[in-house]
Amino acid sequence: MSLNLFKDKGIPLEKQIFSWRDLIQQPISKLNDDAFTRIRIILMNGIENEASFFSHACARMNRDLQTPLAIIRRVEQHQASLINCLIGPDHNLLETTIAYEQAEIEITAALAQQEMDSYLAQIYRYGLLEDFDHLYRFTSLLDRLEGKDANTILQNYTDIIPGRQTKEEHRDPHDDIKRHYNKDMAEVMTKFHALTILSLEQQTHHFYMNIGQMFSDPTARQLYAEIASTEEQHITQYESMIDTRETWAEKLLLHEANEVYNYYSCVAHETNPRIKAIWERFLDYELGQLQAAMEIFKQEEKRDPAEILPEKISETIPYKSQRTFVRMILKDEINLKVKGKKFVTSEAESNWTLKYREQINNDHSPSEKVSAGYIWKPGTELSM
Amino acid sequence: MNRTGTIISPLDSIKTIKGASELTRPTQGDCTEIGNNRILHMQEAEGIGSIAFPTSIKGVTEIMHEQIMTGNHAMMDKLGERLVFERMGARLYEALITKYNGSPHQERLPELTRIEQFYLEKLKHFQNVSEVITNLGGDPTALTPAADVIGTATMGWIQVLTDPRTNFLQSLEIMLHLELVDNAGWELMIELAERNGLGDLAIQFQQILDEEAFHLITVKQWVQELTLNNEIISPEQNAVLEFDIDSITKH
Repeated sequence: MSLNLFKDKGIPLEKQIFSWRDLIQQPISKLNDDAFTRIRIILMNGIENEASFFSHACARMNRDLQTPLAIIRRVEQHQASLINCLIGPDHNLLETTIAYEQAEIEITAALAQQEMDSYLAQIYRYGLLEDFDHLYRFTSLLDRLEGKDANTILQNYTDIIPGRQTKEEHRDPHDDIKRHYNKDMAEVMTKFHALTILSLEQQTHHFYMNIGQMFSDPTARQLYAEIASTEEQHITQYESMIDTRETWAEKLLLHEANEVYNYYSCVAHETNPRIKAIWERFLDYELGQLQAAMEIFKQEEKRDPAEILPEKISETIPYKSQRTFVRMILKDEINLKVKGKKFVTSEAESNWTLKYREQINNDHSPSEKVSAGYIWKPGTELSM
Repeated sequence: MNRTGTIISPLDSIKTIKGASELTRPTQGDCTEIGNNRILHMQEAEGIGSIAFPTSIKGVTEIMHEQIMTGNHAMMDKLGERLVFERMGARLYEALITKYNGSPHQERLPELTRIEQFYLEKLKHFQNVSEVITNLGGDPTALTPAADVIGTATMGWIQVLTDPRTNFLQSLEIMLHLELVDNAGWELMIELAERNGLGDLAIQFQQILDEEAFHLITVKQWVQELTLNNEIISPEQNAVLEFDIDSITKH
């Protein structure tokens, strides 16, 4: 089974319509739906939001594109609203945070294995161990503040173990910039993977930046500030992998095609029939938006979109537990550090980073404080 | 099928449990670290805020006048709390009536007229408190610290009542929480009014408490009856519970 990006034209933009009732659908069940359904919702909300952020940036730099971009963006706005509201209101802020971290771990691990560019795959594995540690810290916070078990959200798919210690993740910005793929040489899937992970990290960062102040407890507020800071590093690192020589129109084309790839993956793996119908509808919408983006590309670049995009997409994101892979990376790469664009041993870190880390951890480390002596147990650490 | 526990997925949960116990090297310390950090911040905290200073002191007793002058106006603070609590209570009863109107099998539920009576009494109590605050020279539109705290504490209640997925009994349980706290609140108000030499107010508050006490015993009885009659979940949700045991073992 595969999708033809040029022949499968989906639903034309003018027929991509919503009503307020349509926008707010029945949310998923926190108790009964599969955790991977929630992961897909979180990711696709991030994908739509990235599409919107990019579109706004593009509009600010391209007067002629403002109207066609606004037309696509209005649909994306409503897609994002519909998707985000699929998360039920009984997910509180910390429970939603647990779900975000699970999404980051499972998707980054899956794409790290599919990525053909070994350098970029290494970047994903590096970021993975940091998100993995965040899950452990937030799990402890959920347990110790609210007496709740993160595994009720994780559903036994994802380990709750320390990764690369969060307090060790703080780096000087010089060490966050990585080598980018070559736009003329890279596989299109490499570009999709980069955009997908970037979108997810950006969504997580925005979420943490918006909810940290809603907590009463000072350690919780500090932990959100600390982990949001590392998510900002992740966005910096992942966006630096993308070739800046891609034109605005080329980037637009890649964004739309990546959305197609992601909805296609959701359709392929969704277990909830009602949610699957939403993914199918939005896959058709994205194919229509891709057609519009192709027209913009042709007009702007006087080039054939086939120079950028493959005819068919057959690969999907494997939505399943990546426990075995994560444990292997944990065992082999836990002590890895970065220096500039290189991955190095812990002794070889840059002086910039050492100095920055010493300063930021100067009075205490929220992530260490929150999880002092913590070992996850089913039913929380208060269980017998 | 509920997927939140460990038994539903025995093979995966064993991996998670063993992984956590074997691969976690915990640092020194325990959960008290979070509390200690909170204590540190408590020492710097500036409090929730202050009470709006009364615009006049007519109707205020000597005791209250002294309290106002020294910044200790417990009476005004707790009146502010009663005000927001009764106002929120009225809105929660509105939501309960909506829940009733949208429920299947209304014949199994309590009488709507009684629920509507409780709603109107909450509304009346709110208006009563508003008048009392005004008569004491206070501002019923201002938010007092106690009012703000109770508003924060009860944020989840409205979430439950207005969630289309919750049923009538799940909503009614929240009303029981509300009535329990409300009763305790009015008992304290009577005590406060008496200690401040406001005997007439204490009598007025006692009349409110009598109505609230009836709310409490009635709602408590409804919750007991509906729970014992196995109305915890709706018939639709019951159907979901009758899952195929094979699907669990496959998972």
